[in-house]
Amino acid sequence: MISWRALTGRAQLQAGGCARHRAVLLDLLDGRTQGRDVDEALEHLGRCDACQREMSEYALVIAGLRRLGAAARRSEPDATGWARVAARLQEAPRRPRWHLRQAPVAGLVALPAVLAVLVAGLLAGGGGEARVAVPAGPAGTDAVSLAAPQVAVPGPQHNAALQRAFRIADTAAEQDPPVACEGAAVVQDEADGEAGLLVAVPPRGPLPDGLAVFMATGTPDRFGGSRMTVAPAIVPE
Amino acid sequence: MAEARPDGVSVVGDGGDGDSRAFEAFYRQWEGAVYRTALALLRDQMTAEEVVVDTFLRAHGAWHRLDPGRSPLPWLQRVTVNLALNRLRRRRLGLEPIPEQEPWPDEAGIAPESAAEQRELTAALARGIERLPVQMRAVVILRFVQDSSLASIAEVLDCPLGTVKSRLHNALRLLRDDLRQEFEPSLGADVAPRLSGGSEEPAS
Repeated sequence: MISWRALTGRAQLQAGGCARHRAVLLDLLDGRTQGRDVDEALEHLGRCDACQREMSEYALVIAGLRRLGAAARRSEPDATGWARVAARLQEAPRRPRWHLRQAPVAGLVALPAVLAVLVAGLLAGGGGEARVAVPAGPAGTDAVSLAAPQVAVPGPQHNAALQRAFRIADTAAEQDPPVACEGAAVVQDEADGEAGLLVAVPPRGPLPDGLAVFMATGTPDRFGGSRMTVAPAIVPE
Repeated sequence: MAEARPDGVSVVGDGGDGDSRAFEAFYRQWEGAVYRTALALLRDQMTAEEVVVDTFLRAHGAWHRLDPGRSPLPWLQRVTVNLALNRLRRRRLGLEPIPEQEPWPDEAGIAPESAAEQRELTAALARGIERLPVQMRAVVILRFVQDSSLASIAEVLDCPLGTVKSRLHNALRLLRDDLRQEFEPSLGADVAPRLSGGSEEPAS
C-alpha cells in the first residue's frame, strides 16, 4: 500500500478559505492559464500549506489521468470494423432521415435540447407495450408528419420501469437551460434495436385531449425511422 | 457531385461505388479516434466496437448534412459520446448487463523504481473513473484520452464552456477524494458521496 501522505506532503488540508483560487490552480495544473488571476493564485499557493497539499493531490490525479490517456491512445480498433459497417450498410437500405424543425402542435415550446419530437396518444389506460408510429417524411426532407401517431401507455404495472425512466429523465435537467420533465419512456428503435429515451416536456399551451408531447434525447438521427416500440411510456400524475 | 472535405476525403453523393470508397476512406481516417473514445468510456471492447459501427452508420445517414468545410471529428465525437453514455446509463439502470470491464492498457515509460507505485495509483484512478457520473466521465475522457481542449469538449457535448469546466473540476475532486479514501482513509473526503442513478452531478 502506498502512502498517500508521503506522496502529497503533510500539510493540513484546510481548503475552505482557498476556494477562490482553486479553479485557477486547477487550470494551471491542467496547463490552462489564459485569462485568469494566475499571479495572485500562485502567490497564494506559495504561502498556503493547505493549497500546496491540495494541489499536490490534484497534480497526482492529473498526472495519473495523463498516463491513462497516453496508454488509451495506443488502443487500436479491430481490423474488421469496416467490414461490419459495410455489411450493415448493405443490409439496411438507407432510411429517410428526419428531425423536427417545426412542430405542428400549436404552441409547442422550441427547446434547444429537443432533437426529435413525437406525439403520443391515448394517455389513459391501455397496458402492455405499444407502438409509436412516426410517419417518415418523404425521402430527402427533414419534416415528419405528426398526424395520427399512436401509442398505448402502460399502466401502474410499469411503475418500476417508470421510476427508472424518471431517473434517466433527470439527466435532461443537466441541459442548459434545464429541461423540465413531466415524464419519460424508454423506447426501442425497431430498426437497429437500440433503446432510447423519450422525455415529456410541458407544452406552452394546452394540448388536444389525449395527446402528450415527448422529446427524444440523443443525436438527431437517433430516432430516425418509422416505428418505435414504447416499453414503457409514462403518464405524469 | 464531389466535394473536397478538409480531411482530404472526396465525397460523392450519388450512392455509387465512388460514394462507398469515399465513405470507407472517411471511416478509416476517423475510426481510431471514435474507437478510443468509445472504449475509454465503456471499458468494454465489444460494446465499443458496436458504438463505432453505430456512429459511422449515423455518419453515413448524415453525410449530406456534414459541413465539408469543417472537420467531422466534433460531430463524430458527439455521436460517439451520446451513444456510449446511453449504453452506460442503461447499464447503471440495469437495463443492460454490465460486461466484464477491460483493464486500461499498461502504461509505457514508467520508471521501474516507481512502476508499482504508479500502477497502484493509476489502477485506483481507473476504478474512480468507472464510478464517475457519466457526464463527468465524458469530460475526463475527452480531456485526457482525446487530449481535447475545453472548447472542443463544449462543442462535442453541446454545453457551455463553464459547464465543462465545472464538470472537470468536480470530476477531479471526486477522483482526488477516491484516491484519498483509498490510500489514506483517515483523511476523508471533501465532498458528499457520489450520486448514483440518473442525476449525475453534485453541486459545484
